[in-house]
Amino acid sequence: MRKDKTSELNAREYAENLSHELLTPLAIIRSKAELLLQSSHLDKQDLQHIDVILKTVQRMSRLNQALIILSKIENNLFVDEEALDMKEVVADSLEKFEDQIRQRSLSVRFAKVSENHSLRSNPNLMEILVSNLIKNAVFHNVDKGYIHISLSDSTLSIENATSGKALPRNHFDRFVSGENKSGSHGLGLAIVQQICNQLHYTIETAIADRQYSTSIHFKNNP
Amino acid sequence: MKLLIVEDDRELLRSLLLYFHEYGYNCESSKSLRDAHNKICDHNYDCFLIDLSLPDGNGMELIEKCKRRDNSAGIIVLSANSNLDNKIESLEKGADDYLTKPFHLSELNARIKSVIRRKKQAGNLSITFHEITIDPEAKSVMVNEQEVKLTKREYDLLLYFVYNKNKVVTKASISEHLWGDFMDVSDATDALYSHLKNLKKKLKAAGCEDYIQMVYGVGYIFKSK
Repeated sequence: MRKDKTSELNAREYAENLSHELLTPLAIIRSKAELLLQSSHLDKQDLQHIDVILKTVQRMSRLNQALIILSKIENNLFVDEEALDMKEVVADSLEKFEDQIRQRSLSVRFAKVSENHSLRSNPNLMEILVSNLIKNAVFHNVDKGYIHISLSDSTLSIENATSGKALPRNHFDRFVSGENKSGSHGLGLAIVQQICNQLHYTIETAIADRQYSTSIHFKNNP
Repeated sequence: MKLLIVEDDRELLRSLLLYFHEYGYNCESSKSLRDAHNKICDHNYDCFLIDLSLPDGNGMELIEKCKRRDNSAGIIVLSANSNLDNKIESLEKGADDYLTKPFHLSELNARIKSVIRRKKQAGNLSITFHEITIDPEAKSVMVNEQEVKLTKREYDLLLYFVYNKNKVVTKASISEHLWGDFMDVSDATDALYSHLKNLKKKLKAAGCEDYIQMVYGVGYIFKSK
């Protein structure tokens, strides 16, 4: 039993170290591609090749970053708690995506159901959690769609319009992304799930009638 | 302007030397902590690029030394560790900026220019490109002495182009510059395109020449024709 625990720990440490070791090689590839891009002798096809190299570096880099975050959460590296104003956490996340919200003409409604929105939690985890949920709501939306957010002292609910394409049943698993977009690594919801486990929050998702909804319950023992 | 690049990876160092040499910087390099210590003692630099993980120790200890040597020199940390504590510690010790690998060369270039302007030139110099004058303190833009009102994104975009003039900048680096690294490139492309269109329109209306050229599929270059 104990041996299993030790080897699991080693495996996690190994995974995190490996992720960090990949950052310099990725920086080398990206820098060489950017240097190559400055050459004046490139034709369309050369530029396409460089573009693919750069996009692939980006993909690996995102994937790597997500794996680092996951392993940090699993290794309990986000422990400090402070009183967070959840209204602000949500508003800050919405602001990050304001361009994309405007671009797709999404209507956003943010209802504060109760008076008190203060929650003791880790600020980094909370920011990652809420940003991931809002990011999903923005990008899995439809043009002229909507995002309805409701916040009480115990629950954050986000509903958004969706094209109705079925979400994979195992969408909380790692590496499962909804549509086959080359840019997304399919780790967003795995991170959300991992954070909820860590903080003992429960998460519910439902899809019905071209609407996707997610609720996070902060307090499990009312 | 003189740069000291402290980086132990030979290929990354070569990329940095080549790129910044072309921008007219006088670049020197160190691959170890010990060599960097000596160079910092013996020479003056305007800006330091410091990798934290060096074969003979942590680059963090160079930060205080650089600051003591010349408080007006810029210090930018290049780290292969995305740990927030690392970043906070570097900034507390006196680094001016912190960039996690893999960074874009054009982003690093913009950071260097911004740090040097703030520290070496006491922040009071405006940036000029032909008929365009940017005042980074007031975040204002003049074209032929007439103010052009830009949104925050348009302003950030223009400044990024001017800092990286005459070089191809990738769409990925621009979108990361504007929105940070949580956005997928494909998701940022539409928004980038619309800001770019508006920026071009406003500059043209002010009588500015169109310096922004598209580089097939990959990005843009800002230069005179």
